[in-house]
Amino acid sequence: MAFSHDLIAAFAVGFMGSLHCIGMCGGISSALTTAIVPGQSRTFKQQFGYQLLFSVGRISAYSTAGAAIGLAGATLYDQIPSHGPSYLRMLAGIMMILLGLYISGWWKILNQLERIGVRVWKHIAPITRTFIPVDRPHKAVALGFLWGWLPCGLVYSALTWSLGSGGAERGALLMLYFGLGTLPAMLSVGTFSQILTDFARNAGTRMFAALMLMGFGVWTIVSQMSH
Amino acid sequence: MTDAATCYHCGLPIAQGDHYSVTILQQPRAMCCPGCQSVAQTIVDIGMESYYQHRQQCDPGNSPATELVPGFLEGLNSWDDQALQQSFVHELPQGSKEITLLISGITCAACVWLIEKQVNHLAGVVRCNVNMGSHLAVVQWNPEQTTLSAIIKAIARIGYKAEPYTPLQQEQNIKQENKQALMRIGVAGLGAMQVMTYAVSLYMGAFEGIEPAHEQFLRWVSALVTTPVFFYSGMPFLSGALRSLRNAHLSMDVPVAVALCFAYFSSVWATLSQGPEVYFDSVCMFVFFLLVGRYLEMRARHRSQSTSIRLSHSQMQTARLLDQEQHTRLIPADQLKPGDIVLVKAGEVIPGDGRILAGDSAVNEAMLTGEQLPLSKTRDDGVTGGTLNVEQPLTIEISTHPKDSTLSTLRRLLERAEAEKPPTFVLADTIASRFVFAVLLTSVCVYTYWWFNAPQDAFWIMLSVLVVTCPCALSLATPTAITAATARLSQMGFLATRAHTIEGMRRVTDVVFDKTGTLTMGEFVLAQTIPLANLNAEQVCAMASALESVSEHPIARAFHGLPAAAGIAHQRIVANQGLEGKQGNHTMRIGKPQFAVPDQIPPPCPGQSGQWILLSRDGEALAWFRIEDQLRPDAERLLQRLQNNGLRCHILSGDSSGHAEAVARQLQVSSVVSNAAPQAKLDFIRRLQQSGACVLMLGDGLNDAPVLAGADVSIAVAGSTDLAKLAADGILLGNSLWPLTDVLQLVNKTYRIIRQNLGWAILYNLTALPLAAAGYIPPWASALGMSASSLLVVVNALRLNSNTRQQGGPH
Repeated sequence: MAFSHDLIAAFAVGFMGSLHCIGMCGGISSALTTAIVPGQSRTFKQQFGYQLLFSVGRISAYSTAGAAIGLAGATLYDQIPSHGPSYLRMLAGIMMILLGLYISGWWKILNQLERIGVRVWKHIAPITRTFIPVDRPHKAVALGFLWGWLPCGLVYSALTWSLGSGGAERGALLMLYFGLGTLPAMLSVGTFSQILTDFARNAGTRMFAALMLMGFGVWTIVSQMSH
Repeated sequence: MTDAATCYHCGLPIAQGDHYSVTILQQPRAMCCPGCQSVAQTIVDIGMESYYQHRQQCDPGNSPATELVPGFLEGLNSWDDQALQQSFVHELPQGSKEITLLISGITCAACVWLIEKQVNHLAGVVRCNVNMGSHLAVVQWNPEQTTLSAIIKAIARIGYKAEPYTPLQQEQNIKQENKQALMRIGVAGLGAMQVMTYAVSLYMGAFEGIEPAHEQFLRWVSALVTTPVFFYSGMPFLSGALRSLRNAHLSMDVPVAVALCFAYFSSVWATLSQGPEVYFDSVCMFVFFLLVGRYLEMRARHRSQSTSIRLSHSQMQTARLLDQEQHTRLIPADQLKPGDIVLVKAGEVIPGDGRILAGDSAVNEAMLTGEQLPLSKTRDDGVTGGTLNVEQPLTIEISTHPKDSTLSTLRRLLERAEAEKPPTFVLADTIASRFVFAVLLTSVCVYTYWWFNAPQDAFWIMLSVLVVTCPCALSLATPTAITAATARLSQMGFLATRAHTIEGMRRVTDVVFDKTGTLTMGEFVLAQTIPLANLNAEQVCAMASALESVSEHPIARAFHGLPAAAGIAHQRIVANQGLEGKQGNHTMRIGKPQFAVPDQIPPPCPGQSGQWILLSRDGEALAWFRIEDQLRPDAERLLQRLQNNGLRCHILSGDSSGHAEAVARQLQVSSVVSNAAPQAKLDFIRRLQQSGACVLMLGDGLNDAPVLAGADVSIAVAGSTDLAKLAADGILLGNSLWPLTDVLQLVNKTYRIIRQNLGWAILYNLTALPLAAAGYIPPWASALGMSASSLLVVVNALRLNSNTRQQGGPH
């Protein structure tokens, strides 16, 4: 299967999965980037600009992680003689199914994974304080970059995918597309926050996204098995 | 949503057995996952706990709109209840009733046509006009022949929901509509994204060679994803088309729905029967792009509707009612009764029309007049509901029922104007409706042609033709521009009360001004008194004052407030001449010299400037009075500008004093007719019209109603008169004439924009049709093109609204 196809799929996973982010990160990212200094508010354009920069930072964190994991995966693949990528891809498929279960709320096994992430996050969290208040563009990027390491099942399942991507640059690219997929939801938060949050919290919407992700996972596994 | 088991941070349900918690705002809060826990902890740690406080103000799921949704569905028959009708229904002098209904479900001009046809056919309905821009219907009916519930039921029968319009109701409907539209877009967008991914795989598979089992799997998944998109997101198009077919009228939805159904069902069939081609991606793209287009168009429409009048109406919701013990109590503003006493604090909106009992303050009447500077008001001054009290608290006695207040009257006039359709609308609708038929016919021809020449392409080319040529832009071109212009005009302090006002003003060649009260302030003052007989000035003034006390004519008002002589009775107004009364056996007259002393040559006028009237007893002259009226400060500037713009100006005046000529000289107007009775004024306008002129007449709207009615377009200068009595096509709400130039300028701009819109719509359809028929436009591009062309028309119309003083972002 062509790599470009994977990129589109990564974008789609980011897009669907980001429904989950709206509740968790959406409000925060706008709160972090809005008027931190009391009595001083930003225009809509400025606000949007800061949000964008925040997301740029966030996505670069994902890409960095993707590059590292992709490199690790490629090294691992070198040591496993045959069918290497296939197993890694199947792992990604399984992760996607788990993500579906997680988003739908049926089985929150990914919470365990997030717990591991929490340990990493505990070291990063204090640094975020340096960049608050966000009164300069570079602070928004930096804060976004740190925020990208937040324990998040969605990001982890996307990362297992870059594990099987076959190289640092491919892993980074996959995570970049995944991050771009999360952009529409994250950026629109400031504009239509209320309606969008209601939409994202709607059980039907979450079921739909979950089923889609699980379908993706099943399909990834099936296509690997038939190789 | 169960309240106990949702995450405090993200609001999602918490799974059984999970225990994550963070102390926020001094209380432990349950979290759903380690992620939320860490985020929340970080937020607390970095000192941004106030985020949660701030957030609570609009806690999701508890938005005020959902609480306030009224139980409108409790039996339609309750609408016939008199008490209930009181707040919505306006009783007209002829005995019929009028109501403004807010209608949900209107998607295009065909809906408007359908509702009007249906309602106008009901026995007892006098008139029904539906506005496509605002979705408001103004219905007039005869209460002896039909009922309000029968009308609402008739509208429900053809598939629309109607309810009495209140600004609050409309706001809720807008919110509801918004939410549902976004929901549909969300589903369509997700679906489109997914199906595109699969489609790309399928296309690449076709090149790289894909296993049939894989292909079939992808098709099934696509079908699964497309089904909710088709049935849920595509529902507005499907139901719209069904409705229009059932009522045997072609609407814009028909070609779109036909294309959608063809694409969806043929693809399902191909999936089941392993046919050659599926079009699930086209279905999703159609629905997604068309919905986005329609959504943006809806947002634009809502924006253009939010005129200042409606806005201030919705702000004016509560009043502080003062009781005998000076205690205040908050009540809804629409429950105020005449005689109620209310307290209005500084910075609050005045809840109703009334009179100031106590307090000195400044009031901003911008919503009414467009004038931004506050006016100072003190005891006994009148105030208008909806205006803003700026400086000090005021105690106000309410004088009118909220339903008949200035603001309600303005709103009703505005709605009447919006509901009427000028001939150009009707023409565009007819053309659009025929065009739909042509589109259907063309697509059949195109399909047939391609079937014989390239059968594999025939189907999608037909889909493209059906979608790309839908004449939405054509039917939107005029109404959107007129709605936007009406809203903008009302912000400038000009209310167009008739649909043809804007259209008529464009053609104006001659502007006729009534002098008194229009070019001049209409506030006469007594400037000089010359007694002629052996009476002193006070005595003659008292006599004049007693005579004039019964008249409301501007000249008479100069004497109001002066001490009046006793013993004068039986006063009678002689139109355009003066007044007559009895003092004992003597006949007293005051007015024009010929009227005061009819049997002899009147004594020569003591001076040239100003207006002189004569007082007489039994035909013997007693005294001269000089009355002065001041020009409006901007009259000179206005006439200069109008004449520079090539408009011919005329001045009509009922008095013969030479004041009219003096005013004309000062304003450099050569055409002036003085001493004209109403009939003569009307004849003057007729003569102008016969010579090919299109006449715009400005008057005070009360004394010259028949003359105003004779002009092509009439504008009343409201000042402080009772708006409901004004018989004019437009009303200048402020005290200044100057907005007229801006109004005329905007009218010209409006028609420039309408021409651009129509030109664009026609050009688009003429270009797109042959291109699509030739197979150059793929289905997704056709949906994009059609949405973009409608959107362009709406956005272009919104330019009329561009320099509004609206505040706030696009929330």
